[in-house]
Amino acid sequence: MNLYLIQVLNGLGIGMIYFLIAVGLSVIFGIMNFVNFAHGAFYLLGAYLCYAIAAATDSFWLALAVGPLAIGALAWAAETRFLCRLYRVEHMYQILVTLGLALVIQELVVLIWGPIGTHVSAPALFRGVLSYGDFAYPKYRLFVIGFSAVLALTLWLLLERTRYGAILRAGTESTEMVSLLGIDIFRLFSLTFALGAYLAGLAGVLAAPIRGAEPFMGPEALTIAFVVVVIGGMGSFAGALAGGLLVGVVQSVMSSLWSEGANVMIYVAMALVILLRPRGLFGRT
Amino acid sequence: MLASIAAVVVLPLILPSVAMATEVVVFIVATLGCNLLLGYVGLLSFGQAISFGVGAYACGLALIHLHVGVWGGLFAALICSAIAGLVVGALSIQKRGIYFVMLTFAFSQMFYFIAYAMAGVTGGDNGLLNVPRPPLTVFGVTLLSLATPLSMYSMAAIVFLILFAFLRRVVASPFGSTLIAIRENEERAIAVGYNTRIFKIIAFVFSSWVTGIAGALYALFLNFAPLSNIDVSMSERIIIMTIVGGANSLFGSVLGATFYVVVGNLLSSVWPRWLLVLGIILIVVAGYLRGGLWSGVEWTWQRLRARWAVAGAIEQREDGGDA
Amino acid sequence: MSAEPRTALAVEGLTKHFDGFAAVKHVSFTVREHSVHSLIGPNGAGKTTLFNCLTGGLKPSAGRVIFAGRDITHLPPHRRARIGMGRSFQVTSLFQNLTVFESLRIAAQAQTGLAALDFVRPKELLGRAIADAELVLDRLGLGPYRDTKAGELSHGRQRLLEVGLALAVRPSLLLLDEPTAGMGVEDIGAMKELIATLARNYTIVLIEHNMRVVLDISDMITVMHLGEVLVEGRPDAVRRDDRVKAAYLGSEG
Repeated sequence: MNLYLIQVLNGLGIGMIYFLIAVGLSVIFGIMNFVNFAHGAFYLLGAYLCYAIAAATDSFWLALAVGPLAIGALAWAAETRFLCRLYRVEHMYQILVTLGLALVIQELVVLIWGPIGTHVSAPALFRGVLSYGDFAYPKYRLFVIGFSAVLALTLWLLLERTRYGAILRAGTESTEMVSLLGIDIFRLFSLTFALGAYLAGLAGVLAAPIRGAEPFMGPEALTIAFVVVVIGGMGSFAGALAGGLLVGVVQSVMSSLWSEGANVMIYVAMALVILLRPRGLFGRT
Repeated sequence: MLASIAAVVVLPLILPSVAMATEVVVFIVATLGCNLLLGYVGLLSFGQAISFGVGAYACGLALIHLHVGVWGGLFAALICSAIAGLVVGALSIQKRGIYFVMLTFAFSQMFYFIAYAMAGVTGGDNGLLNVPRPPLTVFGVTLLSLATPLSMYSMAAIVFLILFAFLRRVVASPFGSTLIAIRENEERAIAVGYNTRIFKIIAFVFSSWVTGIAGALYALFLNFAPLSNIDVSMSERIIIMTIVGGANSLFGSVLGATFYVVVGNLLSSVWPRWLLVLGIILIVVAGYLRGGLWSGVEWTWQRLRARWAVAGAIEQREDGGDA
Repeated sequence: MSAEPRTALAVEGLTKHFDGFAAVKHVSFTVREHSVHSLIGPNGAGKTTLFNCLTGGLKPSAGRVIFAGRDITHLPPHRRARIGMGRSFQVTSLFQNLTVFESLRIAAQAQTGLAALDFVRPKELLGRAIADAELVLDRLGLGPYRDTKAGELSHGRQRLLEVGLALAVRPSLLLLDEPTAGMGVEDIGAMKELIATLARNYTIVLIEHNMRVVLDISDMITVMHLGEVLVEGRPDAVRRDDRVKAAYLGSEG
C-alpha cells in the first residue's frame, strides 16, 4: 500500500513536470501551428542552468527565478531572428530547423559542462523526507507537486483572466481574427514562444534535483511532451494538465510492475488516441 | 544512373577506408527508402528506424537461427520490414499532416521499447551479436566470399545499384507519377479518381522494405544489430540525410548519405562535438536551401550554363561585328 | 422523333445539417442528359454544400443522389470520378508543379484501373492515358502550353485546366464549381463557349454567380435560397421571377 502511494505521488510529481513541458509545446502548436523540436532542449537548459547557478551561488531559488527567464529570453531571440521565417513553411522544415537548434544547444551543453551528467541537490529547505508514522516521502518532491499546482493555477488565471490570455485563447481558434483585431501577431508569437520555452526551462529546473542533469535528456522530454500533447489535446491547457498527470502516474505505477511495458503502453495509448480521437481528451477539432 | 555507378566505383578509392564506403552505401539505400516517401509522396515519417531495425534483426536472426545464406537474410529482412511497414503504414495513413507524423513517431518509439523488452530475441540493450557473414552463394555454388571489406562493399554496392535502378523505374512509372500527383495536391488526386489511401500505403511498404534491406546490409557489415538501429534518432538521421541531399531526386539520396556519413566520421574523430556543426547545417539547409545539396548542385550548374551561354553569345556578336 | 431525354442526375430530398444548422433542406431536382443545369442563389443559399454532397465531399444527413440510375449518396469521392462524374473546383486546385499535359495525363490515368498501379513500366507506355490527355488538351486549346507548369499559367488558363481535369476522367457528367471565378471578360467568353459546346456530349451541372453566363447557356436553372429550392425553370422564366429578384436583393440588404 505504501509502495503504491509512493508511486502515485511520484507520478503526480513527474506528471506536473510533464504538464509544464507539454503546455508550452501545446500552446505553441495551437497558436502558431509551429512544430517545435527544440522544446526538449529548453528543458535541458533548464536543468543545466539550475546546476550551474546553484553551484555558483549556492541558491536553488536563484536558479528557479533566473534560469527559466534566461531561457525565455534566448527563445525570444531565436524566434525573432530566424524561427519567425518558418511559420508559412511546411511542418517538415520547422521540424528540421528546430531539430538543428536542439542539436546545437545539446552540443553546447556538452561543450560547457561535459558529457557526463551531474547530480543536483535539492534546496536546503526541502532536503530530506517528511515522515508520517510509517510513511516517508521526500520533501522536495512534495514541494514540486505543490509549486507546480500553484504554477498551474497561475497559468490558468493568466489564460482565463488576463487580456493576454484572452488573446492567446482567441489565437488558438484563429490567428487571422486576432490580427484583424489589430493585434500584432508577430509579437504575440514571440511572446508565446518565449513563454513556452520559459515553462520548459522551469520544468527542467524543477526536475534537476530529482533526475539530475544529463546532456541527452532533451529528446526524452520532447517525446513525452508529444505524448502528453496528443493525449490531452493540442492547444488545450486542461489537456496538458490531464495528459501530463495521466502519463506521469501511469508511468510511475507501471514502472514498478513492468517497466518496459510502461513505455510501450504509453505509445500505444498515443497511437490509439490519434486513431480514435485525434483531438485528444480536451482538444478542439 | 551512370553517376551512381561512377560514385560507387570511386567511393572506396577516395574514402579513408573501404569500411566507411560500405557504411555510406548502407545509408544511401536507407535514404532512398526515406526519399521515396518524403520526396515523392510528401510524407514525413519517423518510421525509418522501424524498418531499418526490423530489417537488421530479421536478417541477423535468419542467419543465426535458420542458417540461410545472404540472400535468405536479405529476403527475410525484406519480408519482415514490408510487413511492419504495411501495419504501421495502414494505421498511420488514416491521418494526415502533423498527426501522421506523430503517429509514425509513436510507432517508432513503440517498436523500440518492444525490441528492448524482447531481449531474449533481440539481445535488448546489448543488441544482436555474432551475426555471421556467410559467403554469397547461388544454388550452393560459392560466388563470393564476403570475408574481406572490399567484397562486403562490392555486394552492398551491387545491391544498391539494383535498388537504385529499380526505384528509378518506379518513379517513372504510372504508380510513381501518381505518388507525385498526390504530393502536389492530394485532394485533386482524389477528385480525379485515385484511391490515395491505397497508393500511400503501398508507397509506405516500398519505403519500408528498401530501408529494411539497408538494415540487413548493416547487420551483415557490422556482424551485429544494435538496439540503436531501431531508435527514433536513427529515423532522424535518415531524414536529415534525405533532406540535406535533396528530397526531390533519387541521386540526392546518394549525396545526402555520403555527406552525412563521411563528414560525420571525419569530423567526429577530429571534434567529438561535430553534431554542433550538423545542427547549424540543418538550420541553414532547412531554413534557406530547401532543395538540399542536390538543388545547390543544380543551381550552380544552371548558373554555369547561363554564364557559358552569355559568353558564347558575346563571342558570336564579336565575330559577327568584325565582318 | 427524338427519344425521351433521360435523367442523368437526380437529387431527392437532400438535406444537410451542421450541428443543428440546416444548410440544405429537402432539395430535389433532376438534370436531363446533355443539358446545362445551373445552380444559383445568393451567398449562404446552400449551393456549395449541395455541390459537395454531389461530389462526395460531404455526407448528406438525409435524401439521395441518383446518378445514371445508381444510388451514389454514400459513394466516396474518388469512386465518383471513376463512374463518370468529373468535377472542377471553385478555388483553383491544380497540380502546381506538373505540366499541363502531365496534369491531364494523370487525371486520365486514374481511369485505367489497375494499370495505374504499375510500378515497373514507364508511364509513357500507358497509351490510353496519353491519348485521352491529348484529346482534352486539344479541346481546351491549351496545346501551346502543354509543357508549362500548371502554377505558371495565367488565371484564365488555369480555370480552363480545372475544367480539363474534369474532362480527362472520361465523364458523362461534369460538375463545375464557378468555372468563371476571377476571370476577365475575354476569358469568360471563351469559357462560356466551351461549356456550351461541351453540353452536346456531356451533362453539365454548374454553380455560377455570373448571371449573364447562367442566363445565356443554361437549359434549366435551379434557384436556391436559405437551403431550399426557391424556383426552378428555364432562363426566361427565372429572369422574370419576382421571388428570385427579392431573394438576391433581399440578401444584399
